[in-house]
Amino acid sequence: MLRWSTIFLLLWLLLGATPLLAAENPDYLQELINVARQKGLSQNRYWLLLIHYHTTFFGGFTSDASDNSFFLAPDGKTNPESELETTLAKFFSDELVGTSKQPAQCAFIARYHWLKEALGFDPKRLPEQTCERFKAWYAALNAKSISLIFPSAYMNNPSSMFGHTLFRINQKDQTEQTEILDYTINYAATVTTDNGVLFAVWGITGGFKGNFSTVPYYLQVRRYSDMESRDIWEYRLNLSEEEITRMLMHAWELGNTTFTYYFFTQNCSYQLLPLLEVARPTLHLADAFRYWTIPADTVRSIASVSGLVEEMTYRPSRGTQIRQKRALLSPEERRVLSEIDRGTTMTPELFDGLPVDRQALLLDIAYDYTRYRTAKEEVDLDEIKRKQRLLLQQRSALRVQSPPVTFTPVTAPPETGHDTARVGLGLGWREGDPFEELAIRPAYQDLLDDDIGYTSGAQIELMNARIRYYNQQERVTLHSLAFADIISLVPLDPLFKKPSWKISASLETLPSNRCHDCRYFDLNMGTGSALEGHLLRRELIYFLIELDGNYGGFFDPDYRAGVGGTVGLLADLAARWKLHLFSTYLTYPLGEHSHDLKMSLQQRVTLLQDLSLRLELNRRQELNRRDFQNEGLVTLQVYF
Amino acid sequence: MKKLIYAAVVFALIPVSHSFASDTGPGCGFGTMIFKGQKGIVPQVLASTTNASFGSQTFGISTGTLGCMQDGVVKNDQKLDAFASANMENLSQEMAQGRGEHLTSLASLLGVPAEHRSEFYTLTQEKYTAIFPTAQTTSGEMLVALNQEMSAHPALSDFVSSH
Repeated sequence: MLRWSTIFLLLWLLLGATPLLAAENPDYLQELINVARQKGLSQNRYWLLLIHYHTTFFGGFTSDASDNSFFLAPDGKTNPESELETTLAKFFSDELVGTSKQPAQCAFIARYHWLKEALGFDPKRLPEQTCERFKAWYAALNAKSISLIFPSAYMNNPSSMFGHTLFRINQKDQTEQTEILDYTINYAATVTTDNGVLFAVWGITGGFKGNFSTVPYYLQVRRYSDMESRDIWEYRLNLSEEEITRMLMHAWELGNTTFTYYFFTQNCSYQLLPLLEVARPTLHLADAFRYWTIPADTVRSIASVSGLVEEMTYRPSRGTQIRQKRALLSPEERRVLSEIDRGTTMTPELFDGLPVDRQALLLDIAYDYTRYRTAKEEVDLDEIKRKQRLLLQQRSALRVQSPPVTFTPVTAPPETGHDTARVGLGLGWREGDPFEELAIRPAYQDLLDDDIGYTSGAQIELMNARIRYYNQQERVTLHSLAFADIISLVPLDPLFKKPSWKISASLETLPSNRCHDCRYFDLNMGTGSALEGHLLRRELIYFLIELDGNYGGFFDPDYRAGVGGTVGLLADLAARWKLHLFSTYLTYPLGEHSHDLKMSLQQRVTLLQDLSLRLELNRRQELNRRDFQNEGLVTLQVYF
Repeated sequence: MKKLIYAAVVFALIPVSHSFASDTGPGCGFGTMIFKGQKGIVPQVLASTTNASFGSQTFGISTGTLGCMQDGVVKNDQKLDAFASANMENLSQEMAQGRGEHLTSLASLLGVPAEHRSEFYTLTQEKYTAIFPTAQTTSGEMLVALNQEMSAHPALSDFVSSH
């Protein structure tokens, strides 16, 4: 008897603890469910978008959201219908749900408003709840419009090499001068390791969780513009008030979940696309990026939607500002600047003779230098702070406003550049043997590709495969496969003293009498320097000191390792015509003693934004051969 | 597997870390908190891991009350402090130079209307050494000193913040 009464009591407590409105109105819930079923709402694209469902290999559904509290039904992650019906039931309740601990109507406010409209909720039978927290948040964002923000690529950090994207919520009461007070919508991984290898492995294989946040734009600007010196492109989107509301309501819901972060696929840029689709369901953006997402490609995809981008602005980084302000100086003023920069004591003689606005400009640049240094190098922070203080004291004493400087973009906007995947069809000739070549490169940019919209002097190639058919020998062979081939050529500058560097890992072949095309694994890294000239249009002369290791069964013993270097010239001959000439010498004292000499002359002409023609002449003297082996190749390249 | 190989090759040599995981201390000093010790290339990398997550906890959407944050946005009465603490260097620079978007934004947060902005810029330049008395001046001290200077100004005394 005691047992029964206990169960009774428990039941009573459970029912009493959650005063379900639905209990008062089970008929109306059933009515809504019936209509939803009739209309097939659970298969409606908008519902699938809101829960981030996608179809699985076996034809079912699964949601990208990885937090269970994002789903109201126990099987919500894989069952859109069950999730929809449970959601309807929860709308009758004021029980707190989700990680955000709100009633379902508020925690999942975009779902609520969509279903309310689709089913025409009767407010008498399903009362609408006031969502104070959402209202306060929405009021704080005070959205007038949305901008897509693209901080450009940053070579010196692997995770930023392809750039980043986020949204900025432009506030109603801000002007262009106060837009840094706006909030952003940002998706980022929560990094939980300080180990570089684990970081890479987890970043690529989904070991990190990512979440959405509203970091103020001033913190973003500080980071990208001030600390990393990355230029920022801002695209104001032409979204209606209704569309913006839908986007923000959905962003609010996303606070209830995390997603699994994948560096190459479901990264920052990918996760912004569903937000745009929720805002304007007629857009289909995310589908194209399920397997590979490069931020610049998503910018291109958004910019290519007719009428979606209203206005584009360019925000120069501190580094760009310094370079362009410095270009305004006369040679004499440059001397004064370097004196101010070096000297710990006050004004040099020459300085006093200059007009006050030139003095102001010089002090401004000198201060910018110190800021740039604190962000870039190991410096004595106290010493720099003293110097900054002296500069700013002196500057404030001039009592003039710094004149506005107009900055011009150092490169064209990213959406004007070529797509990042490339396929090439080539006809070639090697030592009398003609061949055809098929080259496939999923990403992203090499030194010779057109650098409109890209960082000049930066190469990032991933999984570049070249397959050849030699006509006389009648055989197909994998000529080379570069897993990763990264080069960063940075011109020397009195202030910007970054080294140039390269790193690559690839499968290569070399012709030898030991085998047809002897295949080996190559690991190479190097560091050096580059000089920029303007004798032609713009050219870079560079050198790199390199370490090289090869592994392949035909070596005797089966490896070799050595040192060497590359000298090269990379020159713009015309606006869309580039030349790359280089020579590499490597000597291998370890493993099989040998030396290699490679010379290459390559040229590229851009025909269309996504079409170019390339000519390549190579001479190689490898594995102690005395004679050169020559080959020539013409390739038509399509970017997609 | 190939992914792993090249990832390891590319990333192996580069140390990464995160010193900003649990940055939800008291008050609104997230500017200094997030960026403290920002010198050298290593913190550079730290600050920018994985398109990265500085403050994504602090600014997490619909996460409830957290220090000076409410559901991912800064509480109204803390906006000025939050902004000042995160932008001390830029404010110092722009006050000395008499213009800039951080300075304009500060004026906007203080409620200085457009017609009095140029007086505000002139004041902050003229009184620069009083507003930033030392290289170690904190954002709180700066705002107090700024208040004092503004109180003494005929046109700007109306816009003194409540400190």
